[in-house]
Amino acid sequence: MRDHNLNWDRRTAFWPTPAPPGPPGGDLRLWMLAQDASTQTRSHLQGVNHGQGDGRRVRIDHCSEQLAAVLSGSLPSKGGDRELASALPGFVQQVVMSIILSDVIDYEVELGLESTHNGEQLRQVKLGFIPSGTMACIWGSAYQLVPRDQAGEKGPVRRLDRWRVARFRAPRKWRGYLARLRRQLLLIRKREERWQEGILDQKSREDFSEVHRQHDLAVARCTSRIGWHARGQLDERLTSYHAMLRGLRWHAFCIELREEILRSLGGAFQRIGAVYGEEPKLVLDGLVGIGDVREAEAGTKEGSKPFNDLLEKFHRPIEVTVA
Amino acid sequence: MKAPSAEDLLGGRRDSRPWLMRPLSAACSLGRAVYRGIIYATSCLGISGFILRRSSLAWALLRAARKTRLWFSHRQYKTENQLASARIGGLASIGIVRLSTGPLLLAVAVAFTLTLPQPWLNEQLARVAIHSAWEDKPTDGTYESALTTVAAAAAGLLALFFATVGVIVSTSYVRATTDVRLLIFNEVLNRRYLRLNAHLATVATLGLVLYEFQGVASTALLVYVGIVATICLVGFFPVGIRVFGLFDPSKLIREPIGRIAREISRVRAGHRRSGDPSFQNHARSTAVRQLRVIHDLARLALDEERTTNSSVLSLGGAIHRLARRYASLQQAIPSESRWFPRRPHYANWQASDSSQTQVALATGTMQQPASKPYRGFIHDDLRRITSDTLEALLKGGDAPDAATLLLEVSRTATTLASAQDQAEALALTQATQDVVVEWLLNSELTNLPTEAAVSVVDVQCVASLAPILDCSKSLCAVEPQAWVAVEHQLRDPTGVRLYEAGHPREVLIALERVHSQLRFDETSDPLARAETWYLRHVALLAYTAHLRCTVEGVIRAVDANFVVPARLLVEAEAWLPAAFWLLRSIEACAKAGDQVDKLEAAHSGLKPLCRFEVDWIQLDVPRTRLTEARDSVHVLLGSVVNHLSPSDAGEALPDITGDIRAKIGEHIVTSLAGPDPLDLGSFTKLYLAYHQATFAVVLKLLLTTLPQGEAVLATDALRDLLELSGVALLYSELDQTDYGQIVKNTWDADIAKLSDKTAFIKLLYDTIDSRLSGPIFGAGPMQRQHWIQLFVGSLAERGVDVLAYETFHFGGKTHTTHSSDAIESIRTSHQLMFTEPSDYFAALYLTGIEPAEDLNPPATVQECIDSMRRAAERRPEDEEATDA
Repeated sequence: MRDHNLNWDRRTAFWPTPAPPGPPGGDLRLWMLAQDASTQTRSHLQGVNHGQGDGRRVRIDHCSEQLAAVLSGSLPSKGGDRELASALPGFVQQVVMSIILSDVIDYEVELGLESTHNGEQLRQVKLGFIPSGTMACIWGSAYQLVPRDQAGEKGPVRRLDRWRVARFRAPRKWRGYLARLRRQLLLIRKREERWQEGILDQKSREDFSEVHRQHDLAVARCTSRIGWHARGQLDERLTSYHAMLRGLRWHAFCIELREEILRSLGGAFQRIGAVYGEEPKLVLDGLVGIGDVREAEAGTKEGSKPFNDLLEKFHRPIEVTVA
Repeated sequence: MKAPSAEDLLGGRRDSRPWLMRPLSAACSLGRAVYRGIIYATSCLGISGFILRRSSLAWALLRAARKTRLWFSHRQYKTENQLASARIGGLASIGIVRLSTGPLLLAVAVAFTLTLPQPWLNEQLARVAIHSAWEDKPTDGTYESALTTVAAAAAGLLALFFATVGVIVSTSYVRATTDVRLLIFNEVLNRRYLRLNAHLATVATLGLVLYEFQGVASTALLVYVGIVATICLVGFFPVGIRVFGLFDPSKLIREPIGRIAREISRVRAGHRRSGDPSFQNHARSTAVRQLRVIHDLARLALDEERTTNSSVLSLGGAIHRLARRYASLQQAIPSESRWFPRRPHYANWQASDSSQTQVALATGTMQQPASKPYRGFIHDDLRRITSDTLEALLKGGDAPDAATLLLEVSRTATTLASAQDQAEALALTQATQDVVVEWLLNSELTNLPTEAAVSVVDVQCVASLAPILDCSKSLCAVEPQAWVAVEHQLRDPTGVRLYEAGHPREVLIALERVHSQLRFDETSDPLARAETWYLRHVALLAYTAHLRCTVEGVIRAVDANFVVPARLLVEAEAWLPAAFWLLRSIEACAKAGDQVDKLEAAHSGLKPLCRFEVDWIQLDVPRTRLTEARDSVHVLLGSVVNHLSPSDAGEALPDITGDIRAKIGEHIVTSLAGPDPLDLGSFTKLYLAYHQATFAVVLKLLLTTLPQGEAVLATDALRDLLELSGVALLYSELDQTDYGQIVKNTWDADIAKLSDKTAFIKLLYDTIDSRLSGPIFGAGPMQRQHWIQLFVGSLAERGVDVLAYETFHFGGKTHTTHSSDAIESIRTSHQLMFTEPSDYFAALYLTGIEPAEDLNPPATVQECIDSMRRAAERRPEDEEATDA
């Protein structure tokens, strides 16, 4: 919870914007994909009971207790959680959804300063949301472009402190693919509408099941790299063997997204820690990783275990504790 | 099933190809790689068929293609319509010209080809100064008159032949449908003969016309016309005789059956156009039309009053040949082919597809039902025709002909079962069985010839065995390891190899699904390739499910084909047919047990191939149901045996009473020896039936003086009864059950009815004493030996020390004593008792009843009594030894 007795240093502007019509991202299927990825990533970090001995832990190393408390309370959360373990799953979920829908999400590190006789002292830190598409980085400097009616006294172009901007994006290898995926899903949706209009107007003389198969094939092809299961739409079309391999690809994708987000968050923490003269490090132990995915893939190819047993590791509830 | 070769199993097919095939194989691999590359590239670019086909350009192209196709279809339809209107006497005169275009063009071509080159040919021959027959032109008068005569004769033959066919149609087929009448005109040889005559008349007429215009007399044309005219004239007589054969409807069945067979061949996987749904639809509609014609023909043949049923039987034979051909080929037809008619299948709203839900919501309509293929449509029609034919034959009193038709049914059922279509085989045999049972129930058996009824029942029962026997037999003919070696079949892009393997339909459906999924996998992700173990695992699961269904089908067939109809006949008091049906039921139960064992062995062969644990067959329930069926059959048999009169077992029929007694006796002893003995009620019924059936023979022996041969047989039957009673008494002593009391009560009741009881007991003693007087290796003595072996085996199984006699002398080894003196007194060696169960029966029962008080028992009986007494005296010492 933000302490209103402090002086909050925030450079960026925030204004309410009406939601565009239709589902977020412009396509229902894209929105479902983003929801699935964010839920999956959240499940990696979510845990209600602490310390049940499964070795899953999140901690901040190399920092004082005071800084750890400041960093733990810096994440935006609905309930105002001041514990990292509680706030982290929700934060990662929100970030993943934004990355898939709009490629990037930016936060500004807001500084809560207290005036004392020694001058101003940093008491709290908050990550404040920057409206998407309004930030630009030029030659190492960051700027926010504010609409004129919202600009106020500070003007439409606001210069930001670069170190205070935390930018979250997908891993580099996925960026181009996700952009293409957004375009392709949009294209499929438009063609789907035309197909359904044809059915309604009784114009379409094509075999329904064959067109349906082609439609599913288009979805399967454009999502094959990340292995999204399209919420069961492809279950009947794929062999369970291939569906298993696709499922493992999906887990690998979610794990890579999670790792990238936590890396960016760790960078932001390090920059905040530098103000205190410390070098904090965000560490997560015992979470499912790429190694687990590769192991399950090898098991699938060998046929050593039933598929459900191989997936068990990815589906069990995760508990997070703070060191 | 087609067994894969060792190369298939070892995956060495590619290497074993001849060197000539290697370049072709390489080219195929290259083509496949290019195809995958294109798919991968388009996948990377995000292009797919779904997107392309819905673009504006594709939409326009599609519309243009559709319009073009529609225009051509319309033209074709119009032409066919005009021809049809001309054929049925429409007013379009041009239609007549169109109909005759083909033959006319042929005639013109022949006439011109043979006439016009004649002057040039003559000139050429004159130039080279060769004199030939071609130069000797026929004289003008001869040429003209010859052609005129031929034209007139051909026209006359045409008219005469047409009139003959017309007479047949208007007399024999006056009540037939139009399709049937058209068959006579469309009969292949008739049609060709009529065309040949028309062609001859046309060519001769054209020759005359050309002669009138050009004055050229062609020798070649004259020779051609002469040859064809000779053929027409000579052929008129045999073809005419053949035409009169068409009064018999069975001669017409070749055409519809041939057309159905052709359509079946065309819709098989691998045929050029078998993948085209419209073509499959067309093939089905043609087959359905021809099936109606076959049904009409069958009705026509049945309605006609004839002295013999050869026509009907011929029709039946042809129909079943078609059914067998279809049964052997139907596994090569894809399961989703439009060849199979569709039936609506309504899915749950929540479980249905989202696209369909959206369309239904947007249009405010109900969801479109999914259509499921109905694969039994040919067999349904053929079954109906068979039932009608069989019913008509039986109602007409032609039981031998009905039996002949049932033999065809049996062969068809065997083919169906061998092709793993157990359900269809069961349906076919049940259809004929319903007809036969209804005939037996409604006929007055007194008027029915016994041999005829028995032969019909017997052949029907043989047919009913097919779903029990042949399905598993053909399945187990191939090693289970070969069933699941499907990777080559599934990786074949066309899928043809899948249909050549002859998988059962349920398995085929599962494999087709995987094949389609594999194609989807490869198209959506070019790098996807399922491992061999997975493909085999899928096949294994499908075959496990099929084995489960087959076991279930075997048990269902025993119940539906044997137990139920036999019970109906017993309830209707049709004793003799019921007896034959029940005897075949015992055979069916035995065969079913064997087949279940075979399927279990095959199932065990599958288990080592399984990667993960799956649901295996639980055979306890089927075995229990089979045992129940066997028990109920024997109980029914017991209720039948005493209603069979001695005249039933004549020269023309087997000794049914003896057969039944032997089977009941065997069942009683086997059940007593088994782990699940009969319940008291079933034992009472069976023993009573056996006892009464044998006692009737004994009474006959007492009251009349029989010839030597029959007296020996009757004594042997009485010895069987004594032996069985003894075995039952000993089992009662062994297991401490009430069977012995039932045996004693039955004997008490029967002896009480006799006037001279002492004489009867003496007869029994004599029978026991003269055990070596009969044929030692006859059926009765051998069966009795078998009972003794079973009993001794039971003694060992239930903990009685059968070697106690020897060990008592040699080792002084202690053993557990049995509470019964009789069991303790039994001495055995090499699975045989020193004294027989009949001796024990006499010792335990006969010597104790009042009429036997003054009679001395035989020596063997006395030995049993002494032995039991010694066992009783020995008992306290034994017990002390055991305590020590």
